[in-house]
Amino acid sequence: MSDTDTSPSSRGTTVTEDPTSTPTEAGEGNDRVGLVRTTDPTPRPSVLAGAGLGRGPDLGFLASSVASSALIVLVVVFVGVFLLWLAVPALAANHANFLLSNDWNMDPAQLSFGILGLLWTTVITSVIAMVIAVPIAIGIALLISQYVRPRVGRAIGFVVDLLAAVPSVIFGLWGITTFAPALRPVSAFLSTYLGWIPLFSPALPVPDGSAFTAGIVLAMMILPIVTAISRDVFAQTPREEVEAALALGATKWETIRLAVLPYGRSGVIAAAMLGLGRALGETIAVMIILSKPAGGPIDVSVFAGGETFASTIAANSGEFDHPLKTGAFIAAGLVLFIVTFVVNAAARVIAERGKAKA
Amino acid sequence: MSAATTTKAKPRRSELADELLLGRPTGRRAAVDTLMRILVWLAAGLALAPLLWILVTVAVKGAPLTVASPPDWTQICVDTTSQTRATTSACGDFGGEPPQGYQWYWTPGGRYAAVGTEFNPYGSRTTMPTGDDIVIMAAEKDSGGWILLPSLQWWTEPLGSSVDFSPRGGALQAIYGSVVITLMCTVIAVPLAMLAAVFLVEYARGSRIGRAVSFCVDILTGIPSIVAALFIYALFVTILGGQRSAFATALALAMLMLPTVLRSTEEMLKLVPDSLREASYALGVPRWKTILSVVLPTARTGIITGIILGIARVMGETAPLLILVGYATNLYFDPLNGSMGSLPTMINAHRTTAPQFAGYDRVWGAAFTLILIVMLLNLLARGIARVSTLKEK
Amino acid sequence: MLKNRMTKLAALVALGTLGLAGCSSGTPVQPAGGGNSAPGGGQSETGNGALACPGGELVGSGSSAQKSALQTMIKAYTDQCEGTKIEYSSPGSGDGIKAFIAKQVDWAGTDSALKTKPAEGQDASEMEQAAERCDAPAWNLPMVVGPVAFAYNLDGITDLNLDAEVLAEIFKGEITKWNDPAIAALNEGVDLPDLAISVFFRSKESGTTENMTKYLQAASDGAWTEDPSKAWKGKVGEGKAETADVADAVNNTAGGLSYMEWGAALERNLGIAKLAGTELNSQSVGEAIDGAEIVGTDGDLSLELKYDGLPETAYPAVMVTYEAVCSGGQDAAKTALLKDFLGYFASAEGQGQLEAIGYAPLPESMIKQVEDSIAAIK
Repeated sequence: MSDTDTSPSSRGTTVTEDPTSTPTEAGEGNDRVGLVRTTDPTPRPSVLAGAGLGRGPDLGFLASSVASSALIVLVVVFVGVFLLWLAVPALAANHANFLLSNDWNMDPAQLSFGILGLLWTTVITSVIAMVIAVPIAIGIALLISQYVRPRVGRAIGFVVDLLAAVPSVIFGLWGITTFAPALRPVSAFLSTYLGWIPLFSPALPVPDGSAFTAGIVLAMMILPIVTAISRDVFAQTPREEVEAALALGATKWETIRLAVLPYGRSGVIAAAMLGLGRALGETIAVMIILSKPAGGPIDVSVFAGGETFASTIAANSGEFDHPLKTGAFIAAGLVLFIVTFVVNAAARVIAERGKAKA
Repeated sequence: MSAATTTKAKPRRSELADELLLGRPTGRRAAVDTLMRILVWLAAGLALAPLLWILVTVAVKGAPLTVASPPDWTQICVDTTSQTRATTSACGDFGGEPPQGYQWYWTPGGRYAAVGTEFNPYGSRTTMPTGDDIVIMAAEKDSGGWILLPSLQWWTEPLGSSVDFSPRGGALQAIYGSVVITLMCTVIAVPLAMLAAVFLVEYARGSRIGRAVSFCVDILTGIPSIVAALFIYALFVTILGGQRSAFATALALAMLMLPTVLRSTEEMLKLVPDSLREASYALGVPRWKTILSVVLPTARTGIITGIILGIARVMGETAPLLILVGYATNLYFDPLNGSMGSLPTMINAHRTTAPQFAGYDRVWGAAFTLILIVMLLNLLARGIARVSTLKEK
Repeated sequence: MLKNRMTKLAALVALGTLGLAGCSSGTPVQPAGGGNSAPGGGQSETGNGALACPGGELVGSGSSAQKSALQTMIKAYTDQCEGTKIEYSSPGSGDGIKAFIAKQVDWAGTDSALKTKPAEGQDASEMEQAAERCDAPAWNLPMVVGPVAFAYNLDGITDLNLDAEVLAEIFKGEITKWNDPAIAALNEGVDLPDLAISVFFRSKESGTTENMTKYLQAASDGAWTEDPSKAWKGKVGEGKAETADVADAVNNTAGGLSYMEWGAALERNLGIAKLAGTELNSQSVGEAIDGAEIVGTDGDLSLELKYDGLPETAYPAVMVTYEAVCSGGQDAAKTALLKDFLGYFASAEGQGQLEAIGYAPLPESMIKQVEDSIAAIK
């Protein structure tokens, strides 16, 4: 995910000058022994100036990898164009403030739609999901890679991988029939004792269809992805670093904090972003669980219902009988796009700033 | 590592001295360590509990249907005055007339409620069903149960024209469709993703082009499945005139699978030490060969994880299937034209059945089948990885 | 080593499920005097004439309200004509019409007839677009009569009486509790609890919502002012995606109330309200349909239903689902199969199977007209 190269193996200055010189220490060319990474902000000409650019198969290989990347860029551009092309006429015909209102009148003569409610519900369910899932996923990944025997770790990892295979509609079904009733006492407890905060004020009489339930189920859905990738990243921490830490008398936790986590930061952030992407775009499970409110002012409580961008597009995709109507829903999809991009960009900036500080 | 204890009689020493002499960390550091250990275990337990709950629910409700099937009808005795299920003995002989106040009912499928629970006659009959090959079993347990008879119809027969009440019919069309669509999607997405990841890490690390491509992948990560499906529908079906088909779905699913595979491949490639690459160049190995035989194999395990994760996610996606290939109950083979069954759409179509009918159980059977397929793929992939690692050694 | 363990685990799972499967807790029962279903393939006797069984494949799509009806009908037809493959999926009326116009399906199931007026900003109406698709006029054939049931969840109350005006007020949020005087007035002698009414509605655009609001507008004496529409225009309530979700929500919430297809309420044994004293059964529904007027031309049998001014014994909240078909211009083999299948669907034998699953059969007079239209398809 980061493109300024900061992996530990890029430390040091020996590699920039002479690509074929062998470093003095096997494995890492460091001029600093330590557990803290330095950043090397200069791009790495050795990688590009390396061996044999220009020979036949090399050129072919480069061409195909460039072509793949180009295709990806093209697809994204096309998707953006597609969304804009559908959304702009609807936005132009919109009578209400798109970003700030919560109307949803699909009558083509008086089209007025606003995505404030959608934005709120999408954000709150994803935030709940991330806040719950990412720390737990990191915890499980650490457990698997650092705290238990490899065999046990593989077994737990296997189970977690299985969970990635549970289809989203099953999460929705299980969520609304089995899990939501079990969650009622928790919701009741929270809304009783924390109800003075608007975020936790009681809303739905029976909180089965609330953003709270949906957020927790989403957390369960994204946990396997974040855990699996984090686990692989942590497992790749070089033995030397871990052993160096232990040799200095660090406790298990300190080893993790000093050696494993910094090494895996970029990977964990990538994993978290993948999880967030899934949470923001999750369609069917959210559609089954969330109750749509009948309109009116937005209730900011997590115990209220709502619709997310993805679930409202999916629920109404069957009734796209008018281009303006389609455009309205697609405009909502466009906002989701932008939200994803903003969050990813922010994560990237945070990741890089964190590295620069180190 | 537990906290070191100091006895009161010892003279005061620095913590470091304690550690050097006793070999254990003291006080705050040890406490923090223990705390984090507890937290990590707690996190794992907290998370794995509900997840295991789901897996167990799917297994318990779905696995039996893959190796057995319920009878067409179950005969139970009903107390007509209170409209509750009565003990079988209260109605007497299975073939005979029940006494006053009781009645035989034939309920579709193999599920029956416990004695005393409310009986809903919807879907049930008061006369014995007739027909060729009809299997009728009489309920014997008072506590309620699920009659199952060994059968492999789940794997060998499509659902066909079977109705939600009837336990006849299997999932062959859905299994076939899911496998075919996922296969096509993997073939499209994985090479693209890996090549693009190679580009990002090996050729364009740090450059502006690399940043632009990475940015695009970030955007792709957040596309909801429904938007990907609508896009492919507009592009492939409406503009290019293609057909709604398994192939169109594979395109949409490839869009969803690609970021996962790409990102994990990229992260794994970044973790490969440059020293390995440099050593390879030092030996005169050309660039492309270095990537193929040194870098990629080193990152192999993580890449496989990414691919399996991508497959797992894509196999369970419903929205693109609904829009681009519909749902079918019969077996169709053409991937370029026409609808095909698939496991997620089968789940979606039958999830609206009332829980007491056979159609509902198919939902869990399909979910179990999905997880089983992914588990087998996972084992296969890891097995291959292990074998090739051993070969290298 | 891990593989060994995993293999053991897999073996255990397999054994476990086989064990589960093996134990059947029942006794086999022989059907008395084993009957026989009609032989497969070829000709078959029905009440109104032989089925030609031309065989082939058909795909339809549309309304979810008629999903169970289509399932049963397809099963009954393919049992008699083996080898025929007929598919029906239910993404919704709107989706079905779109797919029909785009030539992706052979017929569409829709809760309202194809519209004859173009939507805002569109040039052609649904009828016109369908006619273009067919190269011939498109016909709406009413096949499934599905009443709209108002289901509720009140412990111990088996008899509840509501009417359009009270329902309109509930859906507008003006009546919020079950023991409101307006409801009590309709239910003399019934002990209504002091419980909030939890309204549920279809969040997806739905033909059921549209027909229910048509009823409210016509019969509520001005209490319901919104135009009938597929989207929910009520002021209160929680929206759930599918009918089954709504029905489950009512089933799980004390004091729940909603509108749904009759079958969905029957499946979950929910209480079904009487409307103005009339109970919901196929008799009362049949009487309501009797009053319907055919407004379509030629073979098109679009109906205008009456919701107000019906006899006391008629259940007013009814809904008819049409099959929108091409009246000509299609592949001969498909047309033959479509005619045969629809012919069975409209026959007395076909319609008779619908009663048990929450639909009412078409009245005799209408069956005749539908069969005439089917015969006229070229």
